[in-house]
Amino acid sequence: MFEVTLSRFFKKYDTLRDYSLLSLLLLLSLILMFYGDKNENNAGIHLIAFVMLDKINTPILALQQVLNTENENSLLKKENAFLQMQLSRLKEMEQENGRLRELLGFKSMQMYPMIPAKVIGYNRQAGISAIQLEISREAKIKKNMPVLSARGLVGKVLQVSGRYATCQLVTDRNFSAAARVQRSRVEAIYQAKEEEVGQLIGVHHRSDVLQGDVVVTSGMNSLFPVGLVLGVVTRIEKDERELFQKVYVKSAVEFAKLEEVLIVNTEDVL
Amino acid sequence: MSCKMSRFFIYLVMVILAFVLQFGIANTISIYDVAPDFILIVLCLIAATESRSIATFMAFLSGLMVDSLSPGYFGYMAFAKCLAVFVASTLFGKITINKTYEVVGITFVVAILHNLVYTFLVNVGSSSVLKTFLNFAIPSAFYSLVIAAIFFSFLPGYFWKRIIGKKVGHSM
Repeated sequence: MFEVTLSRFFKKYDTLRDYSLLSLLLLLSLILMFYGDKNENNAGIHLIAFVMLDKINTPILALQQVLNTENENSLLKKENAFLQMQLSRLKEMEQENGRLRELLGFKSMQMYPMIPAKVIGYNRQAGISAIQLEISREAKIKKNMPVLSARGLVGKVLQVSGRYATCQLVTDRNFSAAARVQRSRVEAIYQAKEEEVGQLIGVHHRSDVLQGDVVVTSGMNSLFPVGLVLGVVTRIEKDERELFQKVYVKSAVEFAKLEEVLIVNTEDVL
Repeated sequence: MSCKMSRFFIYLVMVILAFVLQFGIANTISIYDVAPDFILIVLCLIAATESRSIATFMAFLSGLMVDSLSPGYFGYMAFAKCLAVFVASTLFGKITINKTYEVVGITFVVAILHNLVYTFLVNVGSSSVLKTFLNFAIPSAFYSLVIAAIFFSFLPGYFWKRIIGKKVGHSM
């Protein structure tokens, strides 16, 4: 009889302990949700996670890179030949542009130093898109610096912990940037919509936007310099009854295959 | 090293391994941007073999690690994982497990619950909660189901003894 009572007591105690622990941890999570991002106290956890990821993930990613090398090489050779042609054409245009700017008394465009960074991890869940970067210890990386790949804007730096940084991708649901349609110079706000697809907000239904148009950053907000490629217009939905048209933009960056990126140091001008 | 300590060491290694798989491999094996949740599968194993409080605490820690690599969403994954693993542990304590598919089935239910909570928390106030749930949460739970089926099929007998014993002993 005594044993049964004791066993019941311990069972009840166990249940009470479990529910108390759950309540405590859920409460702690809620506190972290509201205050976790507003202070830098979680930098230690960030660093532990980064170091762990870097130490174990780097060899795995290196192996993946080796396996992809052959394919990538042939693609890069083709791209290189095409870019060489474009480069010589752009050099001509740059010189011409410089002469004309001088003639009109305009300031020349700013050039920023680029800092290379290695991708060591990916985090892509419901609406969240981020990559983890390993950077040089000496590099002066700061929050909100743009991150680029050869194909266009990748995102912006969100957090820096020592040799590591988190980059918020352009596909993250909280990402937005001042944008411009390169051909027609139509201004809009780029906002991430779904995976690898964003939307241009505020494009009047009579504005000149076509499928295939390249969308670049307009430089209207201070975060991103002018002319970084955001993507290509893939779909347009027009309704005469609505003031704005829906313009969908697909990024040219293959986020799943990112290995190295460049961080634009917008604080130093070359 | 005591038996309990060595078990914790094994679980810790498994969680770290799952963490690395989640951030390194999951992206490569994703289908239409849908990836399995390796961490949740390992946490379900812990829930099936250990006491509810240990499993919940491990879930909180793992969730926090994932959160630390998610931009602007600190505490969200910890909340979802804690709740899901607590439910998983309760289910494992109440249902008598004899076959692999029973464990895999519970893992699937827990994955859906986890994704539902997480999607809701991340997208709260947005009109795309349902769309994100249908496009991400359900397919991701199915993908986790496939990986869980493979994982639990190759699970060593030692863990199976503990899973079967969970219903009898509950808090081991």
